[in-house]
Amino acid sequence: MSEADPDMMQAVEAGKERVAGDEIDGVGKQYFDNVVIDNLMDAFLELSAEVWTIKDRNIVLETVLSDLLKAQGKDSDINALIEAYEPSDEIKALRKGERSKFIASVFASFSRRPV
Amino acid sequence: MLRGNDGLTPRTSTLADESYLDFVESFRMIAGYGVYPKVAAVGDKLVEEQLGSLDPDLDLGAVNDVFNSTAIAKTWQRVMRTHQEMNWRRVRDSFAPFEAQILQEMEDAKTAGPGKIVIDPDFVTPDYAREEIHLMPGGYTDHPLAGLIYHYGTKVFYTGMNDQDEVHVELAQTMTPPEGKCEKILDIGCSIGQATMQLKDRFPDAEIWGLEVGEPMVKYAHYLATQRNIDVNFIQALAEDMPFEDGEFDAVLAYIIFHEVPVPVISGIVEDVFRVLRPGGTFSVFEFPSASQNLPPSQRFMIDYDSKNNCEPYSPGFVYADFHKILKDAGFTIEKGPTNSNPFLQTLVCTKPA
Repeated sequence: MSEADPDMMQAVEAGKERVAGDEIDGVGKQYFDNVVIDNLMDAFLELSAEVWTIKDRNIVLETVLSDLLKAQGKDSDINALIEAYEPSDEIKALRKGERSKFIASVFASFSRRPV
Repeated sequence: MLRGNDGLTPRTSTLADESYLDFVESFRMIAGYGVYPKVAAVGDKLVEEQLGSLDPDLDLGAVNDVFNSTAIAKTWQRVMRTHQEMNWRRVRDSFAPFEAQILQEMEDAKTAGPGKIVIDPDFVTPDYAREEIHLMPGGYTDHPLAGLIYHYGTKVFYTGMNDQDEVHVELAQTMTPPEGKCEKILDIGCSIGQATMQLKDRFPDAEIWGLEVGEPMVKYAHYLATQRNIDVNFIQALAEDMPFEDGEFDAVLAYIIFHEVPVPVISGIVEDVFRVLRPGGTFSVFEFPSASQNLPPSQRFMIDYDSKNNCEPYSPGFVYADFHKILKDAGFTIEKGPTNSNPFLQTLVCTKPA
């Protein structure tokens, strides 16, 4: 007994044209009757990964910075330094640009499978 | 900038990529090992209620319809596909800016030792081998950085349990050598040579070869071996049509290659392994289960899902094929192999009669 997908086997035998990355860059798959749910779940996973990435970077950043300040004999209370920080206009613009990229990344699924 | 290695595993080009992929790796543990048992329990119960039995001959389409009527099965399918896409996309994109540098390093390594690399410029990759197995972009053959992408992508796949090649150490340490001399060993479908290199550790005086269909995989395997100064050889070739003499090898190792090829190719590989082994030589197989005739609906649903959604086109063919008969028909005597820490795998020791 074989349950190999006949469509897939046929495609293999026919020598279909291939594009590297088609599986992960193509139109993707839909599992829910309403594609919005697929899109929301993708956005949720992407967002979760981004949140962890930032939390992880904060842990590394604060450790590196604290070690550096200690080595220089300076105040190494990172929490206090962060709360007292006031950004310049340049830094505000930088953060705004990064924020836009972040939002585009999280909600990319809605462009990939338009509602 | 490239950030070197963490032991045997390459580091991604940025901390952000590493953190993102750490998330995917941890999520995989939950999605793969935490949710699926619930999908199976709910789905099997519903199949029994709606189709009247758990019979392995139930129509697969009807079984899938029952599973797909549940929110948990849809959710599981969504997150399995999505986390796999996230993995490969981020790995590929992390190394993409350094493609030229990495390719140059691999090119420079081609003439370096201690082992050698054999690439046939006239080699034609068969179409069946060009699938994007497990959704890996370009598969094993069509992306120039396939080896490096595979290396980090499978780190995530193994959920941290193979960061220092632990799985491949076990393969090399438990594969069964033949009675008498064991001077020449072949690892077929060696991908990036992780087991091939570990074989040298167990058999330091043996001549070791790794064979793989994908040129970028072979090049990366040789690159790793030169980096680690391990005297093993790699060759791009088909396991069903090997450019080796009859009886040239004392032992052959195969780790999860057979479920990645069409059933007719399985027979071709087994026959060619039999040919290149000397009388009395051993063929150690670590592979998916086969001849599976009494699977519950949940496993049939999962195998079908994996085939269609994780680019495993040949896996169902293998799982339901009588692999042991193929081995026996080729002339092997087969025995159960050593216990493996992955209980899902079947392990076999196949001997070419002396």
